[in-house]
Amino acid sequence: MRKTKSIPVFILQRILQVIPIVLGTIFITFLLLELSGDPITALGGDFALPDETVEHLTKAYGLDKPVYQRFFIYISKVLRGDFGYSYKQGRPVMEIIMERMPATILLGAATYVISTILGVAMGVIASLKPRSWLDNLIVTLSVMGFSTPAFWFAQLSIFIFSVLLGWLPGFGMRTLDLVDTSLLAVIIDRAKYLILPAFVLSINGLATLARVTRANMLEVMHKDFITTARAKGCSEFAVLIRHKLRNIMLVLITLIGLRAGMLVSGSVLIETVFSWPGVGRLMYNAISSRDFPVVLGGFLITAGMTIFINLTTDILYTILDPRVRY
Amino acid sequence: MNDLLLNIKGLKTYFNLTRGVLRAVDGVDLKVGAGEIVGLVGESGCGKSVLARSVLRLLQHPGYIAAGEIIYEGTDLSKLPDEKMREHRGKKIAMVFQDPLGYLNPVMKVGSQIEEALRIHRPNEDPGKIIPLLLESVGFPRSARIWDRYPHELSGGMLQRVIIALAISCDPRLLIADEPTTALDVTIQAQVLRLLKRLCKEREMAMLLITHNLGIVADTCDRIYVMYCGRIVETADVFSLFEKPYHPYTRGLLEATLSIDEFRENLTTIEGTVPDPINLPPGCRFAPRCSAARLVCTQADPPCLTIDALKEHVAYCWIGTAEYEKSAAPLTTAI
Ligand SMILES: Nc1ncnc2c1ncn2[C@@H]1O[C@H](COP(=O)(O)OP(=O)(O)O)[C@@H](O)[C@H]1O
Ligand code: SF4
Ligand SMILES: [Mg+2]
Repeated sequence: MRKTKSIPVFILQRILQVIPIVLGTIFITFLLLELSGDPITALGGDFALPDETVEHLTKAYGLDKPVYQRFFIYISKVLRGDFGYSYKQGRPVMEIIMERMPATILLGAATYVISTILGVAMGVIASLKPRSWLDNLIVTLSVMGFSTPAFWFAQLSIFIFSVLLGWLPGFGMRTLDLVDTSLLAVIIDRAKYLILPAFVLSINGLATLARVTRANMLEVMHKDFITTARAKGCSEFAVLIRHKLRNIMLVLITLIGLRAGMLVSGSVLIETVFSWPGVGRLMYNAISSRDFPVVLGGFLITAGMTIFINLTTDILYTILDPRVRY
Repeated sequence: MNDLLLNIKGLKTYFNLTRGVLRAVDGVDLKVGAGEIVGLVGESGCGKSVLARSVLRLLQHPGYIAAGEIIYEGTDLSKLPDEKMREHRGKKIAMVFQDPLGYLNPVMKVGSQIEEALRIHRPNEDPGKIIPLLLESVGFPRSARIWDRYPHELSGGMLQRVIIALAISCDPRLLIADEPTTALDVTIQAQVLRLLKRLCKEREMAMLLITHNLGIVADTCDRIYVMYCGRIVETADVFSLFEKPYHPYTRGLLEATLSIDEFRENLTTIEGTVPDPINLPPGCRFAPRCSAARLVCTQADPPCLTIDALKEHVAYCWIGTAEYEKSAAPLTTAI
């Protein structure tokens, strides 16, 4: 009789496996930083710095040390959350990013919730009556949602809901001169600003999830253990939740985890179009102004978040599916 | 026979396919008495599984019950609302299937899958007490803690015993076992059969044992139904059937069984192949393969002949009737 590994052992293994990925990511940013030119010159901007200042700064930043030493110093700095200083603002990169982080997390979380709940629900509903008009509608919508670029949806939705109908604000994340400052009013205000960007950002994931959910539901429906569940007297609802959904959950969780990376890249675009004050727009602006420390800091943070989400996905997967724990 | 538990009358289960109507079960009468072990035998594809699933109304789309009655303890299951039908499933009638791994949910512990049934049908009892007892009754020592296992951790024979434990968990009066040993190793087949037989005795449970192997039913069953192309062709008390098989198909099956050892697979030793279930031949469906066929056999459905009233031995065949004697020599016995 084979014995399944215990969950803690498995989680530990997965965490150990992540270490090289983290180091690799830091190595790539370091390389990019090295290739991006002399930071001292960049600090001076359009003015040439006096020689003593250059010398002083070179020493202060440790730029006179050999490259491998600088790499280890860089790693230890990154791991302590020190991403250097912004060329433009002269403030620590970490500080600038952390100011923008809540907005990005809010948008990302809303997107995740919308795309997961709506996507799975649409997929399940479509699968209940295959080839019905409702199924056809959902399949058509999801093909459209999957194949249309997000910026097009962004502009269309701003045009319809903001310009034409005037229901929702088209940019920003809050009303600056909000009169009623009670908690409820603030929440409603934020929600209004959140709806359009979050919905547009979730369309792609929603469409993908709906299609994958539908396909997997149609497959699991014909599995023999579904017959066993019915044969022991389960209601159709119990069959749906405990047997069908529980089994396709594995596929869905992998997919939802994989979308983390796409969410980050998508948010650069959507935050820019909707003027959403998050990390994505910060990075976009930093790229246009060649503020490399901010760009790379943003890169490290989002890469770290993606790695973390994927790790969580992996762990969830092993908890849900005993068969992978070998 | 004791009290009648299950009485299937004129059951027809059809599949509406694009090619035409597939009459998988086409007018079957079958009875199971309380505590009785009844065998249902026939070649693969003759409609045994469809018949079994019809009883619990577990047919897959596009199958449906086109006609007939399935009377269980006086209630016609075929006309029961879904809600009431669910109360019968697992509680009154339970089922064991052929492929044990596929029939268990891969991501649920074995214990939880049994618990699910208990919560539905025995809500006031403590599953934690019942489950170890159930698993013990199918031969797992308590120390093996089988309830904590996932299906992929167990062997085929163990899984089949788990499924049997699940099936008997809510004390059904009737167990339908659809080829419960076909997917197992030969040595384990005998064990599982003995287990099923013992459980039936201990629990006064009736069993409809479905198989394509006459050798299996010989040791286990009280009476036997032989099925061919969606119809019953012969039924009798087990001794009567083995002593005096009447129908040429039954005789073919018996010869095939006796010529090989008891637990071997497949009965393809009867010559010819099963006809296309959508385009069945008129008259006797066995005629194209029957060496005794005459013209009358291909013209009209064979009559029901009582071979031995006492043993309820009945066969559907033209042999021995006046029409058969008068009928012209066989057409080509096309194979
Ligand atoms: N879901 C289904 N869809 C279409 N035809 C089916 C389905 N299930 C069974 N059949 C057909 O019904 C006939 C009887 O099948 P079955 O009862 O499984 O035979 P067996 O006696 O081997 O158990 C076969 O011809 C099979 O092709
Ligand atoms: S009815 Fe005719 S064809 Fe059919 S089994 Fe009897 S003898 Fe053979
Ligand atoms: Mg079968």
